Amino acid sequence: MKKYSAIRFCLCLNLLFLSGCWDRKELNDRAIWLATGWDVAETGEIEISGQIVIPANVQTQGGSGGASQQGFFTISSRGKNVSDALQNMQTKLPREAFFGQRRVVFLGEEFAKRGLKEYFDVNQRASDVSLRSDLFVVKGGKAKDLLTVPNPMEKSPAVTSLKEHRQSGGRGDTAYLNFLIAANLDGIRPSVPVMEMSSSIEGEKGGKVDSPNPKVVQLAGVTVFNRNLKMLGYLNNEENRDLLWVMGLLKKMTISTPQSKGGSSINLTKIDCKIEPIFSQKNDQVSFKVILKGAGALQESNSGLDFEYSENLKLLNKKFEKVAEKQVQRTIEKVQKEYGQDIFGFGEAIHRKHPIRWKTLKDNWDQTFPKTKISVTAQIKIKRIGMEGPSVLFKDSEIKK
Amino acid sequence: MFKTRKRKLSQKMKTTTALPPDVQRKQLTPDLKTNEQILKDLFINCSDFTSRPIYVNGELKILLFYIEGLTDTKTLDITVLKPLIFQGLPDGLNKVGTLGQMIEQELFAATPVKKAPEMEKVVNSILKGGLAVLIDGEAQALILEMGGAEQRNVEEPGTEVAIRGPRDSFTESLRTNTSLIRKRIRSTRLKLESLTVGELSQTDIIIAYIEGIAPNTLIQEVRERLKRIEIDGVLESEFIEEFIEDVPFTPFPQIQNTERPDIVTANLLEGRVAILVDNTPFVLIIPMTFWNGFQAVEDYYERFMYTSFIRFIRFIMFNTAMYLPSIYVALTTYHPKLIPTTLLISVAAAREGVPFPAIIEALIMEVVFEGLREAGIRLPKAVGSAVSIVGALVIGQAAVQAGIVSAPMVIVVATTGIASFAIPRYNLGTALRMVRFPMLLLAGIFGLYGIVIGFIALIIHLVNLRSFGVPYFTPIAPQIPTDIKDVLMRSPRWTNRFGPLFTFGRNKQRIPPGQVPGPQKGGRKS
Repeated sequence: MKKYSAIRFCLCLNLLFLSGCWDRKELNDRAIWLATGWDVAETGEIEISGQIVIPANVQTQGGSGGASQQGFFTISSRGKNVSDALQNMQTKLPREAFFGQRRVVFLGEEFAKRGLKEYFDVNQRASDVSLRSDLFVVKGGKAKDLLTVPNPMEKSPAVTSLKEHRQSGGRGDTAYLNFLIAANLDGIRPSVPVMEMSSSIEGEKGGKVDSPNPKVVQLAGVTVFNRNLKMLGYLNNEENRDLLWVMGLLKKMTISTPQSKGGSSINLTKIDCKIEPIFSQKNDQVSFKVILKGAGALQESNSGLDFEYSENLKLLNKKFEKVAEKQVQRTIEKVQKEYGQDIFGFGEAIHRKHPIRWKTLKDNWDQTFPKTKISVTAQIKIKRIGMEGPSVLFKDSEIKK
Repeated sequence: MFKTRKRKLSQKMKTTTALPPDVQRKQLTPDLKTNEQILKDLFINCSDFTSRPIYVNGELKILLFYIEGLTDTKTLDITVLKPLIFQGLPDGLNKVGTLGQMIEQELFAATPVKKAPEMEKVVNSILKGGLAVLIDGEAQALILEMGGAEQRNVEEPGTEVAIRGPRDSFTESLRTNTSLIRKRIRSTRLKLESLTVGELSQTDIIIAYIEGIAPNTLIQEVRERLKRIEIDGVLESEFIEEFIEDVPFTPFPQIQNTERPDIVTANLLEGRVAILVDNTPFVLIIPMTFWNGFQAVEDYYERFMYTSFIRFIRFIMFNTAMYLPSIYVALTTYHPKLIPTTLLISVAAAREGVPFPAIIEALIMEVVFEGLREAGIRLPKAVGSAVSIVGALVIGQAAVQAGIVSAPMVIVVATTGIASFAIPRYNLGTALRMVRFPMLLLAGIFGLYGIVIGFIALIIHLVNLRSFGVPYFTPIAPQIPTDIKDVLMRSPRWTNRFGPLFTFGRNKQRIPPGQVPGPQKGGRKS
């Protein structure tokens, strides 16, 4: 028994070196894939494009000087489905594509309209693909074109769109997860943020990266998807914010009152929303009460109001509330009328509070939702008034106390 | 079968001792000449063995024997030779019994005098630096402890430096060392038991403990383990350590060593036992736990908050030194998904063009670093700086620029190196540096899974270690909540009322309660 222990130990040691290493892959052998683009090719096949880091070009140490080289490149290929396309792509990619760091998915407009249901399984099945991704539809264009647009501040378009989305108070890298959740629930329809190509100076055509007015990618609202994961149409940026507010995902937002009678703005940072389903006594008709909540700092007030007096603050609070109510009400009505898809998640509100009633409602929610009455109330609170009470631009006599 | 044969062999060989067996049992004779002859035969060819004859009334009456260099000749001249030669024998030789008695009582009564009738004792005393006085007509020798062998002064400790705290450290002289401890504990309860180990070296060893605090079982165990040692010579306390430790096959030290008397004293007060060995400044402290490795001497001389913070840093450093290279290798080769995107891109950019896999790269760098460290210690001081400059240039600069090693790997290895030196006990640090290599291999083969396996194996090993019966992870693994106060942090001294449970027990307290400083309650009473 004891005689063989040394031999056994050696055999075990061999096991260490014989197994184990099979999935070892050095960073030099991996192509770090940052973003994926999905398009429909002219032939009707799927076209997959990827944004891949060129590590040698992003080296930050040692003053390279001169013109900086691009830190990424875009590659694309066609196929019956994703796996087929990727296999075709590998023939022109010297390293194995590594999807673990893929943070952004772009969908070409045409592809989004065609529907995602038959193609998207690969994203969940692969173990190395992160669910914490951002998801965008490219407005009026192809994903592969957008993937070639660099940003002068960031290393790659993927990082750019991710950061733009986060900075503007949107859902950031939970967009893909949100999409999956919505695709799986009956009471909410998916909505996907939109990116479009634009230029850094408004109204002029964008030039090259190192020109003063380069081409940039810009957040451009949100799209509405239906039950079959087909894209129906767009909402603009303002409507996107309203949508996110109602969904409870919004992180920051600025509301401005009309300029005509002393326009003022508030920057909301504490934002919340409550949806209350109400069933009428008579015919079991459902209606909703949306309570928007927000608090933040006063940004500007071009009027003679002195905010060291609380009546004036209340007055302004009311004004903001009115603007917000009107704005959100309009957006909800637009969605109800134009698309008839419950992207806000009103159905889910019923589902949570009246699960039994929801069972009868859920099957024809798409028909019920457009006809549902929804009322919006806002509760806005100015927390800080800034550095001055009344505006300094107004004389003492003009100030309302 | 082999074992029994080995045992028989060793029993046969056991008889090598310092003295021939016939001398061992011999008594001194009243005849001075015979005694002289025996001693001279024993010390034949020992050029440092000196005898000094003294004549009384023209007759050879007294012989002094000593080893030159071990005995202080100045003291010898003043205390022995001067009174003997100049004063001569006081009158009335017949009044006081014998010559020996008279010399002992009237001439050098000031120095400690022992009487030895056995030849063995005489020889041993001479070898230890004593002066043997043989007198005609006496069947016993007078032994005078003179001391005076060459020794180093008490200097600043070389290995355990502190910004605040006493500056003295142990020396090679056992007596000096015991005096440094005795100076700190002026109590009769401080016991210094002496014994000798080493057939040839006859090295003095002292077991130090405080009676009533150190558990008797522990003292008894130390005594027994020390008595079991059979060795020809003891040159350093590590010789002893290897014979008495609980688990030999482990990189982790189970006995603490220090050259600072204040550390020894503090440990004695906590009920531990110290073993002082002659001819080395390093004193062993028993038992040691894993957490002792994280306690620096200055922890107890600085404010407790700062100490707690620094201890926390040390734990981080320990884990950094143990796992950082492995985690780096595992993440970059197996789990790049776990690295934040921007960091991954920078790492990938730095690794671009590096020809080796990360694991090989890490191994090369770690080996080179260990080599540099070793060279830095061994080289003469004058060359040492050259090594560090060349090392820094070769590893830090040239290797990266040549594209052989990536810059992040240099950072990782350098951080690891620094971290491994942040552990106060040097021998725990060495254990750490050794264990790092298998961990690195596991990471290179299995990724994070391998690191987890290695971590679990290491913890199981550590928890299984014992130091004189005390579990190595006390007070964390057998959890003793009150003792954690001085392990993961250092609580203020007035809260730390008891010593460690495993040595101290709970019926003795070190500090009485109610000593929290602050304004007097209810105002000052006049």
